[in-house]
Amino acid sequence: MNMSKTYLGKIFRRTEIPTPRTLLLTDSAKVCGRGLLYALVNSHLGSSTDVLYLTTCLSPQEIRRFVKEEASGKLEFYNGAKDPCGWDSDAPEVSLQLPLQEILRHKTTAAGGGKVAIVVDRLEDVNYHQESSQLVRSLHMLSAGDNVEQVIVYCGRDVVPESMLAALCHIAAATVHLLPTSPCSCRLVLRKPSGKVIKAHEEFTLTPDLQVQDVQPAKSIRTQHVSESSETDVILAAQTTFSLALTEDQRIAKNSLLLPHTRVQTQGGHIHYTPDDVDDWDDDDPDDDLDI
Amino acid sequence: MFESVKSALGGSGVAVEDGGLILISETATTSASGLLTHFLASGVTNSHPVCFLTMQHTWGHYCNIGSKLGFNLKQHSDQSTIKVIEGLKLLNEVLDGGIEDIEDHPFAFILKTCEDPLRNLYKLIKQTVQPWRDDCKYFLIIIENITSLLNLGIQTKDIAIFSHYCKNLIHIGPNNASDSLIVVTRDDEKDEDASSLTKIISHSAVMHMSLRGLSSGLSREVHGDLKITVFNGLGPHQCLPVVHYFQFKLEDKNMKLFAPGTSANVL
Repeated sequence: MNMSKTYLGKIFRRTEIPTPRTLLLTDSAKVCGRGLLYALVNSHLGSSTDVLYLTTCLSPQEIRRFVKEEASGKLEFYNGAKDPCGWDSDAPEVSLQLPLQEILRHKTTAAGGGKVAIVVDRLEDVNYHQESSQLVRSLHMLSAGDNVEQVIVYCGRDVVPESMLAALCHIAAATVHLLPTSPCSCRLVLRKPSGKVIKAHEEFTLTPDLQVQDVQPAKSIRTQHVSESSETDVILAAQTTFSLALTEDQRIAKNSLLLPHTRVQTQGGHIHYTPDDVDDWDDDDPDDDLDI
Repeated sequence: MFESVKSALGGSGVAVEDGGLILISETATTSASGLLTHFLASGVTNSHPVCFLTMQHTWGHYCNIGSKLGFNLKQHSDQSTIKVIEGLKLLNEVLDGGIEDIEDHPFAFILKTCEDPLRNLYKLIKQTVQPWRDDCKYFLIIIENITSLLNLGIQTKDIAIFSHYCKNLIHIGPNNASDSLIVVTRDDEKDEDASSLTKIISHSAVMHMSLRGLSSGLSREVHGDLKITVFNGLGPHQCLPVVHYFQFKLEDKNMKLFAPGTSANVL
């Protein structure tokens, strides 16, 4: 499929009009979105957009191995990983305790009129040092900057507080949730200025030089990393020659089966006996005649 | 050290000497002591200095295990090849009231409210490894069990910051070689904070070794499952980590790893 017709393709080729001001990229402990993040940064650098990169986890040295600094686009790092809250020195290079707009102030309001893209890698590390509400407000203010083309926020959706994740999804014009599937896929939500919301599930391939290719709507996605209980089932199933698994139809039938004793326990049971004409219906012990 | 653990790690394409943060998670029914003893013995055998912060067990516990395996860990700690920071002893010092000025004590947060409760503990670790950093010598930091700090009233975010600073101590030198930091956590789905902390640290880890008991019950020949998840081994274009499954059996002087379904019960 023509990549330019897919939403992920439009985001990475930057043909989505208008460009989503705030883009939220999330991953989890089971799948890493760093490659996709670098691909997006390379896309900005390749189109003469300067990138202001706030790193909180990896050193700039480690990131430079994968990000191409083209002559047209400049890459400037703000190293929040080295000493985020001043444990090693009284005046750290970048303190994550300051609001984001203060950390990036000199560059986002720089004269020259050049467009900049701002990258926050990773947001949960900043959240340890600032209140969630202040952080979300800072991101919103940054994205409103005149010379800011895009704010890219990268975080782990399984470690960020739920309320904060909800707030981020609310302010983001584009949300990309990377899923632990094979092939790689992501769920996208695009909010157009007209109010239209587009949701898509697309699969893609990331080449070793971090090019996003073969983007297409997700077909039959096989989840590579199944849940914990299913992993145990896989290990157990591998140990016998019997089929211990259930098909979907069998599972539905099993779950909908109401066992007789369950029905009696919940609804109560009654024995209805209609004595015959020959029945001797009295209160005597029927076993009296037995010589026990 | 345990040969089967060594070959399992080798088969997974990971060497501890490659550096980075290695996460080991245990549960209430499994213990990481076996793996920790392997890494301690490995460090001693290869003459790598080790900084060992114990929070859950005493140093004597590990010395006893080491002596069963033929390693005199106490001798190595006396020679400063292994520098031990005993969390339980330090905690006792504060609670006993034997120290007048606890301002700079690593566990001062027990008795007074601190803005950065784990800063002093980090400084102690940094002070311990600084000579090795200055000599650009490969070293190993082992923190066992970081989730114990939750039981002392420390919040998850403070432990995450502490873990981040400890990771900064394992610097990246030329050729991207790095020292190693091994962190042990307790991953219990019923304990939200411990589970959340494990996920936070796994985002920064190059490898996650997850020890679990058998979900089907107890077995004489199989004591649990070991899942080794390797991140970023081939580069960031590889979004999904590489996962290897093993089962293990703890013996008196050994930890055996084998592929699922190949235990003595089956074969």
